[in-house]
Amino acid sequence: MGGSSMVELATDLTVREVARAAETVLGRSVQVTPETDIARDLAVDSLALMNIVMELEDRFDLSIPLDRLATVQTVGDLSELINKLRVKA
Amino acid sequence: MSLLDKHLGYRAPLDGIRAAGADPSAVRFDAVLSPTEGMLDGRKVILLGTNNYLGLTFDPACIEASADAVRQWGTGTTGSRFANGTFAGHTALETALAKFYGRKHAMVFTTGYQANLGGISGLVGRGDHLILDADSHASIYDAAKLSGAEVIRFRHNDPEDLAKRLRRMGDAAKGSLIVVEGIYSMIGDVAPLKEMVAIKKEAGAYLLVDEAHSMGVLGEKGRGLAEAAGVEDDVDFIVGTFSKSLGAVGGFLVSDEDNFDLLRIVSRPYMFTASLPPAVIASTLTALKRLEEDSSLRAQLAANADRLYEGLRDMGYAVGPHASPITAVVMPDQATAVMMWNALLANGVYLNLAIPPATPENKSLLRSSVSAAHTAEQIDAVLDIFERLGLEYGLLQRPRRASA
Repeated sequence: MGGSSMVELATDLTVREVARAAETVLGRSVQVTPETDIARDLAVDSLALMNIVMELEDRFDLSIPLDRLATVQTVGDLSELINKLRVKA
Repeated sequence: MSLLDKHLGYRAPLDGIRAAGADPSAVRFDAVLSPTEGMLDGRKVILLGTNNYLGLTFDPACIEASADAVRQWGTGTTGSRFANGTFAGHTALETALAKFYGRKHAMVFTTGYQANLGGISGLVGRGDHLILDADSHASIYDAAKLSGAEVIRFRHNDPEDLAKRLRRMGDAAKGSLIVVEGIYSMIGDVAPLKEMVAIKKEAGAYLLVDEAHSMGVLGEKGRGLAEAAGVEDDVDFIVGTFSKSLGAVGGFLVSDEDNFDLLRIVSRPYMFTASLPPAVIASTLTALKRLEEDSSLRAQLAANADRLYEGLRDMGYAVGPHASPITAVVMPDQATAVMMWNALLANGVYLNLAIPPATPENKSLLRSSVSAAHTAEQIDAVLDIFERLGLEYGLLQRPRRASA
């Protein structure tokens, strides 16, 4: 398996965890791709997003500072942020 | 295309609430008769959501002090302390607050909102870490944004969750600022401060407690939750407000930290706004004295809080975990909450309709706050109306009192 596909796989797994965290917080099933717009497509407000982040912090045993969410619009953005923070941790 | 179009998502919900009766965002009083009664559309209503915990808004001594000050010092300061100077009252109030809390330093802000905004953003900035209870007041979240600090939330009132998140932060936990509230404004629940202090000490973090709703309410001397929990020495900063127990408007920050005076030249919400007018300072100073000297107000408040909380709980309403001057009745859904709120108003009880996203766990609440100034008769009248409407709308199963 090449390096680029390893990255893709990691992103794919993170996207799936984001979906699961969203389902836990929202109490409904969601279909997501990296392109899914969190606010528009999932109807997630800023408060629900913060709760999803708290859930993800527990799943990945990681700190995700809220100020970093300013640039997060899609599920892909959020997954990328998590993967970046995981490398750092 | 208008700049306001982005808010149109709120149009339908607001119109829906308006269609159900009165508009909670636009209730207009023709007169306020006392801390507990107002006139709406020519009818007397009981005020049950004012946060006027000690009922001091009509205290004769506070009114006199305020009237004297306005005659002597004018209606306003017309500018900031930095630009227009400090009036004697500002210093007197800061000295009185520092003394009341047994702290070296105090500074006064123009609103309680700005006390959090200016206090927190003055204490932490870029590169610092701020740890917030998930149910923090909007002013704390806005302070976090203004500060530029890295923000981590922990689950509401959950010391273990706080400890876990601090552990995860590693070395960054040391020197971080944890912010909690004495009494949370929506449900009226109290922070487990003793446990949180132990965690804060272990992590080497600082602790700020917002006593907005607990000053004058908790503690033998009325200093709030830190006093009641016996942990004042381990609380580094206390924020509070003049707009609840003290019956006016404004906020404060007290601490023993060295270099506290530097906050006066770095805190933007302190510097770039007009300082409190003399009349407000004078009534607040008088109310603080009353709070210090008259513990009967606190005892009466606690008795009233118990009476309302226990009455609602015993009827079968879902209320918070313990009695507090704030009692929130959980409604099954927003439509029922709006209907009940209107029915209560029509029957002469005015309280707060609290709906998502302003509420924890997206609950729809009828939030009430009692005052020491409420009479037992007023509270019983409220309970009777709650019971009658609860039965009428099928929220309660059976009459509260068995017929003897």
